[in-house]
Amino acid sequence: MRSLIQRVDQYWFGHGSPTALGLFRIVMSSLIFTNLVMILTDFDAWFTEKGFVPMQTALTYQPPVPAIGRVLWWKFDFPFSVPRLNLLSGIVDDRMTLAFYIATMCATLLTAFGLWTRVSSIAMAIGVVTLQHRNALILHGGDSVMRLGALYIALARSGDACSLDRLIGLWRGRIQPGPVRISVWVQRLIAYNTGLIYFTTFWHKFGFGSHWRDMTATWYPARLHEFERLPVPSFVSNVPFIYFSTFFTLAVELAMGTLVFYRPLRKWVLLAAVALHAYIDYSMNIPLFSYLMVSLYICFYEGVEIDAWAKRLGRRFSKFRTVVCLPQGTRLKPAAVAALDAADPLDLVSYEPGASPSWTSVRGHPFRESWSRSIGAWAIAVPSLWRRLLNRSLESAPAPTDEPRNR
Amino acid sequence: MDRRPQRNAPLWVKVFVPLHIVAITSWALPYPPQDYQGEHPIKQLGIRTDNPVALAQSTAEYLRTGLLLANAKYGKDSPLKFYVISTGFWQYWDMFSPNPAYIDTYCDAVVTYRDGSKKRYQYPRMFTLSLGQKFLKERWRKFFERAGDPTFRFLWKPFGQRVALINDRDLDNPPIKVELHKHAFTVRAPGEPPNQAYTDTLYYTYIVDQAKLRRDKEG
Repeated sequence: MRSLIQRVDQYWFGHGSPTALGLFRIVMSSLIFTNLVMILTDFDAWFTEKGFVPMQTALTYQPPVPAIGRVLWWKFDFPFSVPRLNLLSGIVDDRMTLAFYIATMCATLLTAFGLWTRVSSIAMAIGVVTLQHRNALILHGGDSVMRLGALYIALARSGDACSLDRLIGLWRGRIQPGPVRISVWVQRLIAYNTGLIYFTTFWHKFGFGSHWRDMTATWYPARLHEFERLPVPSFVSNVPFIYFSTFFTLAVELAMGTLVFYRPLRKWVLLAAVALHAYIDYSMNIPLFSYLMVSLYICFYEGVEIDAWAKRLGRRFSKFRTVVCLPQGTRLKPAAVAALDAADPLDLVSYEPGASPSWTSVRGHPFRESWSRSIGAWAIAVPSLWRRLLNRSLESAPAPTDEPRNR
Repeated sequence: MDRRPQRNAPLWVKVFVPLHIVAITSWALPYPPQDYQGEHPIKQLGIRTDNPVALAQSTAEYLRTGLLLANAKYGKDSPLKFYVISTGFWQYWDMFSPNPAYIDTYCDAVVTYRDGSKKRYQYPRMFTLSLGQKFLKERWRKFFERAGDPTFRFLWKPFGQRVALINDRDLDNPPIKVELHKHAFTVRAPGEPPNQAYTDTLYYTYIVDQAKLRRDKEG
C-alpha cells in the first residue's frame, strides 16, 4: 500500500524535465494568439456595445453565480453571488475593451516567446478567461481547450524550458547550465484533463446518443453545408464507411480517456487521435479545434523524451550540421556556451576556434547558418541582433596553448 | 540534522491537485437523463432479476445513472462549482453529442427602411464563403446557432439592432424594422430519401431603436 502511494505521489508530483511544458506553452499560446487575431477582425461585432453581444446581454447569458448549493446533506443559500473572473465586467467603454484585448494579445505573444513568462502567462490566462466570460456566446469546444491551456500554463513553471527567459538567464549567468528539474504536477493535470475530455465526450455519445449507438452518427455532420470545408470522396460519408468512421471515433475517444495512460500503447493511441483530428480539420470548418486538441498530446510525453527526440531529429538532419569558427584569439564566454547550447536543441551548430580575424563557417555565412539552425534563436527575428549577440559572447582566449573549446 | 524526507511538491499543491481533479471531473461528467431527475422522476432506478441479461443490464444502468445522479446532486452542486465557474476551469465536453447536429441552418433578414423600401441582408453563411473567409467567420455561424434558438430569445433584440446598424447607410432613410429569418433543412437518416429543401421561417420582428441607432452610428 505504501509503495502504491509512493508510486502515485511520484507520478503526480515527481520531478522531471520542463521541456514538455515549455513546448506546450509555445504551441498553445501561438494558437491562442492566432485565435485572437482572427476574432480581432470582427471585434466590433463581438465585444462592443453596438455589437451583437452588449454587456447586458452577456450578463444575461452568464450572470454571477448565486451562492446556493449543498455540502452533502446540508443545503446553503447565502444572500450574495460569486463573480466570474471577468475584468471587463461592467465596462461599456469600447476603447477600454479594445485596449484590454490588445494587452491580452501582447501577453500571449510574450508567453509564446517565453519572455517574462511568469507575469505574461498569468496576464494571458486572465485575459483569455475574461474575454471568454465577456462573450461566451461565440465559443466552441476549442475555446474551452484554449482557456484551460492558458490557465494551466499560468499555473506551471512553463518558462523553465524553450523560453527566452531561460536563454537570457543562461546568457547573463543568472541560471546555472545543465538540466532543469521541476515537479511535473501541472503537466500531469493537463494529461488528466485531456483524458477527461475524451472520456466524458465518449460517455455523452455512447451513453445517450442513439445515432452513436446505431453507428450512423457520422452520416449527419457530413451533410451539414455550414460545416463543409474541403471536398471529401462520397464513399467516406456513405454506408458502409460511416459505420466504420462512427466506430473509429468512439474507439479513439475511449482509448484517449483510458489506454493512452498505458505507456506501451500511448504512441498508437495518440497517432489514431491525430488521424481523427486530421480528418475533422480537413473536412469540417471548426477553425483551430484540431490543432488545439493535438497540442494537448505533448503533455503525454516526458520532457526527457522530447529532448531525446530532438537529438534524434538532429542526427537525422545531420547534413545541415555546420561548424562556425570564432575570430582568432577569442573563445566563447562560459555563459554564452550554455545559452547557445540551449538555443540549439537539435545540436546542429558547433562553435570552434578559428584562424581568421572574423567569424567564418563551412558554407560562408556564419551568422545566418548559426541563426537558422538554432531553433531558440528564431525568436530573435532581427539578424543584426543575433550577430551582435554572438559578438558579445566572445572573450579573449587566455593563451594560445589552451585546449580548443568545443561544444 | 533534519531527517525528514524532502517533499517533491509544496503541501498546498498536494491539497490543490486532488481537489482540482474532483472539481473538474464532477463538472465535466454528463447530467443524468431527464427521466430520472426532479421531485417526481418519471423513471426509478432499480435492479431487475427476471433473467441474467436483465440483471446485468439493470445493474449497469443502476451504477451508471446512480453515479450521475449522485454527482449532479452532491458534486455539481457542491461549493467546488464556485471554483470552476469563477476561475474559468468550467468545462463540458458535449461536442457532437448526445447526437450530432442534423439540422443545417443559416440566417438572413429583411430590413425595412423609413421610406418603405426593403432590403434582404445575408448574414454570413459559411457555405457561400471562400475557404479563408470560412476560417475567419466561423464565429458568426456559432453565434447564430444560439441566436436562432428560442432558448436564447434574449439575443434577438441586440441581433436585430446590430443588423439595423450594419444596414444603416443613409442618415435620412434609416432602417425602422428588421425581420429575422431562419432557413433550415433536416438531414434524413441513411436509407431515407434525401432532403435538400430549406424552410424559411420569420422568427422575430424587431422595431429598431432609433436613438440607439444614432448613438451607435455616431460612436
